[in-house]
Amino acid sequence: MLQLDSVSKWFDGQNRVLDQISLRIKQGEFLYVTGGTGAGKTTLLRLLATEEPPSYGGVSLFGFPMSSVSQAQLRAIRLAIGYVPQSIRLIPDLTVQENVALSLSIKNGGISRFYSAGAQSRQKIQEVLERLGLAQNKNKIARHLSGGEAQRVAIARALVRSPELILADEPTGAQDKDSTWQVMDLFVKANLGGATVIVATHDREIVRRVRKRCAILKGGRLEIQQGLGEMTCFY
Amino acid sequence: MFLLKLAARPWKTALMSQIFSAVAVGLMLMMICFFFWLERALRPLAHTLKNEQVITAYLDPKLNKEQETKAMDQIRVALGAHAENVDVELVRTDKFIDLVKSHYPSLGNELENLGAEVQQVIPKYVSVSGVFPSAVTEGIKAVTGVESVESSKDRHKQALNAVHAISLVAKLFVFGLSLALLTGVIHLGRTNAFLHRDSISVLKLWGASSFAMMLPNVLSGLWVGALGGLIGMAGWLFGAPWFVAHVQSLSPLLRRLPAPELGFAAALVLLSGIGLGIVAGLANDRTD
Ligand SMILES: Nc1ncnc2c1ncn2[C@@H]1O[C@H](COP(=O)(O)OP(=O)(O)O)[C@@H](O)[C@H]1O
Ligand SMILES: [Mg+2]
Repeated sequence: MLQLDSVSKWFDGQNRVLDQISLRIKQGEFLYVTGGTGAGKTTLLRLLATEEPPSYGGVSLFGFPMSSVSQAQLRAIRLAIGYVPQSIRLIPDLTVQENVALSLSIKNGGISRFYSAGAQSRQKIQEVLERLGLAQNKNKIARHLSGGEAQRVAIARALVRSPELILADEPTGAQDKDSTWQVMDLFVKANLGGATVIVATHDREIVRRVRKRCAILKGGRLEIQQGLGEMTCFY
Repeated sequence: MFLLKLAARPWKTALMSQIFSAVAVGLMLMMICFFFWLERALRPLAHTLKNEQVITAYLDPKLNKEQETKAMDQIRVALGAHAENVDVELVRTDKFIDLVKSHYPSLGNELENLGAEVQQVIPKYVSVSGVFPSAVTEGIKAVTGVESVESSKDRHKQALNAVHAISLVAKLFVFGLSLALLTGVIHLGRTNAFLHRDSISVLKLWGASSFAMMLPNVLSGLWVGALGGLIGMAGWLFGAPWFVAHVQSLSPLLRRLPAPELGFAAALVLLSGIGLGIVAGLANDRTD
């Protein structure tokens, strides 16, 4: 469902951040992308989230080659993705609940109708917020959240739309131990529910505890490990 | 209603620039409206000034009453159907002396003392005043019993030139102000779009439709436009009658300026304000 063919990415004049990466991920897979800081994990996830085009090579998502999708197909693909960017990017003037509801309402195609959450949607939002320990903060303005809270809202915003593809970039970077496992538990559950999950992380502890297939970024190259959470996952 | 919340962002982060923009939009709309009205109002005035004349047709002193009446009728016919504000008056000797007497009593008395001879000194004439096409003079000349015809055409030439100059300047103002307004509003839209940029990029990644992505900025622009339109409308409704009344009192010529159509113009101002607001909203910077 997700395929990279000799994808390279470089930013003006610099060395290649990603160098001829080929990768194929089947539906329902769970994959870690590991590597040190500056290895290119974020860059790779941004390509997959359709935020940036590759400098060279082909990306195809859900069977659609990104270089030739129509605007409507691109929208449909984006609707099927739940992306947790490393930079979080909540809408600061909306409350926690509204940030999450906005994501869901776009998925439901309601934003153009001045969406007001239906009962079903409201229940779903409440459920996700509770699971991430955000229920008591749901009316807080996003601007006033702590880093860890904001990151959990970003996760809630991605999960609430029951995405077919979850792209999480350092989703536990700002979490304490307890909430780290809470978050990972949610990703594993989503994966069991059929979602394809890609988690970029430099946290060895996670890879060791939640054993999944992993791919290591190093020097712009991607090495895919066959074992689950082996020591070889470490860079 | 998070779309409204998103749209409110420029009003939170840059309140003064939104308010000043709205006031500027209102004032400029009002000025455009005024110059537009002026240009339109001067047209009939120019027409009148250009074509208004007093024709004096001297009659043969030997005409009797019946012939005089006939000549008068023929003169009226010669004026044709296009004449406006026509006033046709036969001035006989006795009436002329009365006229003179009212202003210069001694001269009037002297004339009266001339006796029968006065008929020779003072001609009998028909005074025709009004707005009519230039061919009318020829038509009156051809009437039997009319000896000669004099016309006062072009006596308003200087006033007419002034009216033309003012019309031209008014047109320039309408054009210039409209251009400035449109440019200003587009720039406001761009600045606002910049404030919306982060939310829009999030909406885009979530797969929002282009309509949904446009909406916050369109709404922000709409508020500026609607407020500006309201200010312009209020200004026009209250300001125009006052201003026009004063302009009209400046000179008898200007008294003929038609009054502005307030309701229509005000509605137009409001709608243009709203339209401009939408234009501002559509002036997104397209970074996709
Ligand atoms: N927009 C950009 N412009 C220029 N350089 C960039 C940009 N984004 C990332 N880079 C560079 O690409 C490299 C990889 O960054 P990143 O993908 O964020 O790594 P990681 O997420 O693994 O820490 C870094 O050296 C970074 O400076
Ligand atoms: Mg990163």
